[in-house]
Amino acid sequence: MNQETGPKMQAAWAALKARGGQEVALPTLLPAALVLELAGEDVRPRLYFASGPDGAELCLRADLTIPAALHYAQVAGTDHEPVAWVCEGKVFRAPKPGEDRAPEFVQIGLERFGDADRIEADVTVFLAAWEACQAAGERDLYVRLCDGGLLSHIIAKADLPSPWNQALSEVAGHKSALKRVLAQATGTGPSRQISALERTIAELEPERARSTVAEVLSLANLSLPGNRRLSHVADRLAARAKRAIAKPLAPELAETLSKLIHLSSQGSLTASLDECVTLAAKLGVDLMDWRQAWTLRLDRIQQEAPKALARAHFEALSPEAFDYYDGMAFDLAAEPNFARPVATGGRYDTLVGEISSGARQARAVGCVIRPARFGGQ
Amino acid sequence: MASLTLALPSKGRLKEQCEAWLAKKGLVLRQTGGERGYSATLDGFDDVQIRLASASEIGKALLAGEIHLGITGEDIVREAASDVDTRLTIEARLGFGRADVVVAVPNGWIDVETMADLAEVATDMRRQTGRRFRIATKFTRLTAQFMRDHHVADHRIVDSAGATEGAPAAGIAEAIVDITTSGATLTANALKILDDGVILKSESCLMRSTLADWNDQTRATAAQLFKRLELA
Repeated sequence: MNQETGPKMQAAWAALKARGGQEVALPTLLPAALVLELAGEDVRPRLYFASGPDGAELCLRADLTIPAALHYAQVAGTDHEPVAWVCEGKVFRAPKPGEDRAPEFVQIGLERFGDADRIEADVTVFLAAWEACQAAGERDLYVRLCDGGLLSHIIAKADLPSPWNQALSEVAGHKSALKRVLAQATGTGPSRQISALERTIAELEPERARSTVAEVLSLANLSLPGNRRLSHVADRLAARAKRAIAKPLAPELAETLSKLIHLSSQGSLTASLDECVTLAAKLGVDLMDWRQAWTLRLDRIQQEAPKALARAHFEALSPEAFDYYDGMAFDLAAEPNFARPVATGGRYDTLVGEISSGARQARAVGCVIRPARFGGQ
Repeated sequence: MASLTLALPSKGRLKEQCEAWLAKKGLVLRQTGGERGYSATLDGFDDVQIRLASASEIGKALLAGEIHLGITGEDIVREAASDVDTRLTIEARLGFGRADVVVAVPNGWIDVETMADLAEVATDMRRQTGRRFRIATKFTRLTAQFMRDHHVADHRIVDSAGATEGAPAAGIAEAIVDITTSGATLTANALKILDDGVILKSESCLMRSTLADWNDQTRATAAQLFKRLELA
C-alpha cells in the first residue's frame, strides 16, 4: 500500500481488510468505449483519455468498481464464483467547474462477488465502510440508505392501467425518465397533437400496424438504416399515440407513485420502510418480503455497530449518479446534504453481465472510501 | 511593446469572405511571402500583426490568449472549451460561414420528431439491446451538453472524424450531430433534423481574447481597428 497517504488512511485500510478480502491490483487504463457504455456520457467531461499505439482509445479509471467488475469478468472461472477483494489506488476524475481538488485522488475499496447470501454480503460491505471511517476518526457520520431496485420491482408488479403500466415499467430505473412519464400519465407533461396516421396505428393489431408503417415508409421513400427496425418504429408510434389518447392515471395512483419517487425521510428508518410498504400496498404490491430483508440488514448492522444507524435515513430511489446500483446502496458523509461523502457503496448485480456482454454473471456488492475527505477536507 | 495580433483564416472560402468583408470596410489585406505565406499586412495598420491560420488553430489561440483578435466560427470555439464566455468575447457576427450544429436521425423514424422522442428511443434501445444509443459526431462537447440539457440519458457519443452523415447507413451510429448549411447533405443521406434539434446557429465571428496580453497600445490599436470596421 502507498505509504505516503498518512496514518488515517492506513487505519482505514487496516479496518477494511479486517472484514476479509484478498488484495488485488486493478487495471488503471481501461477501454474508453466500455467505460462510457457502462457509466454513461455524463462522466465524459470528468475522464482523462489516452491513445494506445494501435490507435485504441483508452481512459484512466475514474472509480474502482468498473475495473473490479472487469477484472472479475476476466478471471472468474464460473458464474457467481465467490471472491472478496480489497483494492487501493488512484482514480482520475477532472474536477467539476468550481470544485477545488486535485484531478487524481486515492480510493480504497472492498468488492465482493458471487456471495450466495445477498443480505449478509450487503451488511459486511456496509460495516467495512463504516468501520474504516471510524478507524480514521470519522465520528458522527450521516448515513443515507437507498434501494436502487425498489421502484422497478413495485412498478413491474403494480396494478396500473394500460398503457401507463408498460410506459412506467420501461423507465422505472431512471429517476428523470420516470418523472417525465409520470408527468405524461397525469396530464401535466407537455401535450401533443397526434396525427391521423398515429390515431389509426394506435387502433390496429401490432402486425397490421407494422405493415401500415412499412407502406407509409415505402410510399414516402423513407429509409430505416441501422439497428432500429420497422417493428420498433411501428410499436413505438402506437405506444406514443396510445399514451396521447389514454385516460390520465388516476390522481391517487399518480400521487402514490410520486410519493415513492420522492420518498426521502429524515425521520426514523423503520418509519420510512413502513411507508414504502403502505404506499406499495396502495398499488397492489406486497412488500413484506422486501421489508423483512431490510429488517434483517438493519438488525445485523445494529448488532455489530450500534452507532451506525443513529443518523441514518432511507430514500426509495438511488440518486441518479449511482446508475449501476440496483439494490441496497449507501453513502456516509460528515454533512447532512451528502455533497461530499467519505464512503459510498452498493449492490450492482447486473454490472458483471453488462461488462462481459453476458459472458459472465455475478452478484456483486462493494464500497469505496475517499481518504482525502477525512477530517472534513 | 508587442503589437496587436489578428488571426484570419488561411485558405478557402472563409479566407475569401474575410478579405471581401475587410475590403468592404476599405481595408486591403496583403499576404507576405506570396499566396502560400502565413503572414500578411493590413494597409494603414502597420502595428497590427496579421497571422493566417486554420479556423481551428485560430479558435485554440483565442481561447489560450495567444492572439488578441481572430475570425473563426462560433461552433469551433464552443466545441473547444466549456468556459468560452470567460475566455473571449464576440465583437461582431459577420454574416458568413453560416452553419447550424444539428441533431439528425434517419427520415424513416416517423415516431421521432423531438428531443423528448429521442430520449425515449435511447432508453428503449438500452432496455431492449443492453447497449446505449450511439450518436456520431465531431462535436462531442456540444453534443454531451445538449443531451444533458434534454435528459437523454442512455446514449453514447461515437467520435467521427469525417463523413458523419454516413454513420447511420454504415451502422456506426443511430443518430448524428453535424453542421449543416442548407440541409441538402442530410436530405441526400436520408436524414432529418429534429424539431428542437438545433444545438447552435453558428457563423464566422470576430472574437477578442480576454486572456491575451492587453496593454494600452494594443487596446488603442484595437479601438482604431474597430472604428474602421464600424464596430465601435
